[in-house]
Order: sequence, then structure tokens, then C-alpha cells
Amino acid sequence: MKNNITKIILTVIALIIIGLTIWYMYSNGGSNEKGEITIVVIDETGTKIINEEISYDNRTTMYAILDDNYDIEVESGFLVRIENVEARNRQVAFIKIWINDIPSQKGVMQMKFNDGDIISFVYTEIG
Amino acid sequence: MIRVKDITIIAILAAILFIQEQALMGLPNVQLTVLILIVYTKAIGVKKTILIVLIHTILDNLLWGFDIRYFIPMLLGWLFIPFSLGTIFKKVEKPLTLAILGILYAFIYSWLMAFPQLLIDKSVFITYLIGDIPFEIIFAASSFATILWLYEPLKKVITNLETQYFGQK
Repeated sequence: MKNNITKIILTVIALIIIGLTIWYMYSNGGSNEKGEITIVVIDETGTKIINEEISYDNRTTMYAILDDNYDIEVESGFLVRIENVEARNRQVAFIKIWINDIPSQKGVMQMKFNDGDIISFVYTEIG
Repeated sequence: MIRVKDITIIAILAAILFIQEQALMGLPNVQLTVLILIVYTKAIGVKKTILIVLIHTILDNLLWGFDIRYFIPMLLGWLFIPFSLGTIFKKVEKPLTLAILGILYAFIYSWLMAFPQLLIDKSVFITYLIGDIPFEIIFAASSFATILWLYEPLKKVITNLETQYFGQK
């Protein structure tokens, strides 16, 4: 009986940790303020194919901004295509995200950004 | 020499291990792999579990694209479970202790899987390490809870089936 109570308590703690982690993962990204960002997309030849300013509302994510303004594809949280820049096989290349020349720590679903940021999506070959 | 009935057991259990991982793919890093490998090691032994891990890792790489940079850490991560349970943690039988070990196994596997990112790009490696923390926590917590509740009944079922159909423990 005592053993089962311990198991139940520990399981509830584990479930709370899982719940909080999932909540953190999916609610902590984007921007809480209105603003304007610059979107830059660089293809495999190093050419800037997109360089434009986009306004956004508060409580929005980078995914929502990209989805509203460009033709994109996201697979398992990874941006695999934006317009003609495509990096589907992650063993060959990927689309690296930079926020003001600093590599983003998170993907388009979760990354944070602020008014005035320059967000670059750069086709990057591996190796 | 390996017997036909051993090959049969290994094939069936490897299929169960592989299918559950694919079936739970939709949930972020929630899988029963750690639980199942612990149960297999304790119920059918280290050698058979090592063979199951080999089959599982090869199948996984065949399905998602073979890359030696991911194959080796994945294999090492999963092999650590039967190896450690057959040696340093051989006497551990309590579900709670095994569940705590499950947390350790989940983190070790996740950290090993981060190393291939170093070959891609240093900044990608750091990004991956930071971005993977929530997934590691989910993996560890779900492994902990499932081992705590399911280890004993699953071990009993597999041990009973083996005794019933193959006349051995």
C-alpha cells in the first residue's frame, strides 16, 4: 500500500514535469510585442533571394510570420524549404537561422525575436 | 550455437521494440525503448538483448537513412542498457531503482546523439544541446514513470511466455 502511494506520487511528479516541459516548449517562443523584422534568405550560391521588412502583431511565432508571407515547408520542427531554398536531407545541408548574426538556439516554432531584429535563413552545407 | 527458438524470440521482441518506437513517433520523445530494453535484459538475458539492440538500430537506420555518424552513438546509447544491467547493475531488481537508472539511460542516450551535431557545425552542436534539454527531460520522465509501473508486469509476462512456450526461464 505504502509502496503504491510512493509510486503514484512519483508518477504524478513525472507527469507534471512532462506537462510543464511541453508547455514551456510550445508557449515560450515568438514575440510578445508588435514590431517589424527584416527577413533575409540566402540560397546555396550565397545570393540573397529575399531581403525585406515585415510587420507582425504581438503573440506571434516566426513560423506564423513565415507561413503568412512565404511558401515554406516544416518537417518535424525543422524548416526544410523557404521559397526555392530547400534543404530536405539534413545529412547534406540545412537552413541555418541567424538572429542579428547570432545562430538561433531554437527553430521557427520556438525561437524568440524582437522588434528590429534581422532574421536570416541561410542554406548551409554540412562538412 | 544459437537455436531456432532463440532466433524466433529475438525476432519477435525486436519487432515489438521497433514498432512501439514508430507508433509513439508523434509524441515528443515519449517512447518505451528504455523500459523494454530493461525488461528484455532482465527477462531473457544480456546476449539476446544485445542482438535485439543491433537489429533495432539497423532497422531504425534503414528506415530513416543510414548514416554512420548517427548509427554508432545510437548503438552505443542503447547497448549501454544491457551491458550495464548485466554487469555493474546486475543485482538491481527494484522497479524504483531501475526507474532511476532509466533517467540515467535516457540522458546518456540523448547526449550521445548530440555528438554527430559536432561534425555538422559547432554552433549547431550548442544549439542542439540547448534545444534538446526539454526533449531529454520528457524522455527521462516518461521512462521513469513507465519503468516504475510496467517493469514488473512486463517482465512477468515475458518470463512466463518463455517458460510456457520454450520450457526455459
